[in-house]
Amino acid sequence: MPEISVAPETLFSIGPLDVTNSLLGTWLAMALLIVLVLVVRSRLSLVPGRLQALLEWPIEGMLNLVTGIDRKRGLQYFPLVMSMFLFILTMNWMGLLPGFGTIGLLQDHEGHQVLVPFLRAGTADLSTTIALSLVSFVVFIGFGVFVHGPLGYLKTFANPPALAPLEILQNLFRAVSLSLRLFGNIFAGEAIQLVFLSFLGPAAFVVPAVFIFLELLFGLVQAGIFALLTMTYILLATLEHGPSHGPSDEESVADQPDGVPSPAAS
Amino acid sequence: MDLTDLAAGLAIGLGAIGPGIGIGIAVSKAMEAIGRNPEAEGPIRTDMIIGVAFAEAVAIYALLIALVIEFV
Repeated sequence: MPEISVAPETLFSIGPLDVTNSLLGTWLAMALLIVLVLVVRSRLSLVPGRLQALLEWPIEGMLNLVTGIDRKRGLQYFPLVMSMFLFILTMNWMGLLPGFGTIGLLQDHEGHQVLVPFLRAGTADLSTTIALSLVSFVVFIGFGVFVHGPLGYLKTFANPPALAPLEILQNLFRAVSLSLRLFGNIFAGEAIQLVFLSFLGPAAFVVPAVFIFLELLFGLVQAGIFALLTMTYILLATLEHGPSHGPSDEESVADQPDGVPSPAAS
Repeated sequence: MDLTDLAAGLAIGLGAIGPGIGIGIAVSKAMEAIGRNPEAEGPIRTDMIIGVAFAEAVAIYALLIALVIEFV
């Protein structure tokens, strides 16, 4: 039975860089995305083919969501949010492919043999998700500084001044919860798969199939949540009247279709 | 009996109660809202998913504590 380990296993080292199986998974996801994008770009056409339509569908959906609130600002962070979504989705779904976590070498570890897989989903490693959430953290702080100026952004924390430590703590915790949420979901999914695969008899075929479907859903939802929360944090940091008002009241005004009088706007 | 296994089980078991109730309330209210105003389904769904993600994060913390107790 494959061992469940929280930390990814190191396969080999290039100089000071330890190449782990989750790093290989991340590189595979990057390679797949780059090749896909280059292929689609090389035959970009006004009447989309199948592949182009497949990629345009999520991009259009996300673009509508992002620009629905504030078109000018939305276009500034849309590329980041969209590539985060595609990257995380690719990593999540790649981890469900046959071969990930199942093909590897048997190694002796504390007296019993342990399977060290060659590949592991990138997001099933806390290092990857922490890196992604740090990118999100730096970007939303950066947007706040860019919009309010360094002093003005600090002032939004002191609103009222007594709650400033709480606001700062809340902002720091966003990075923590972003990374832990993604890692926890994907890692728990893989652990559940391993437990069910160790069942004997026909249950080993039927039960994991149900959970693979659930994992497909969770992989999509988690990628979407990561991108959506990054967007929400940027929106909160760029609000004109401080972060104590949520984005919800802004959104409800912006989402009203033209011509319909909105009670919130009047 | 090894008490570490019991501790890990209790950590995730008890930690899942709160988020479970919270997610249930959030989804039921969102469904009610969609039922009242089906045209607003898109924005309601987005807000609901964000809210559910916050509630779910608590369960994930419990899961991580359970993993730490079990494996570290």
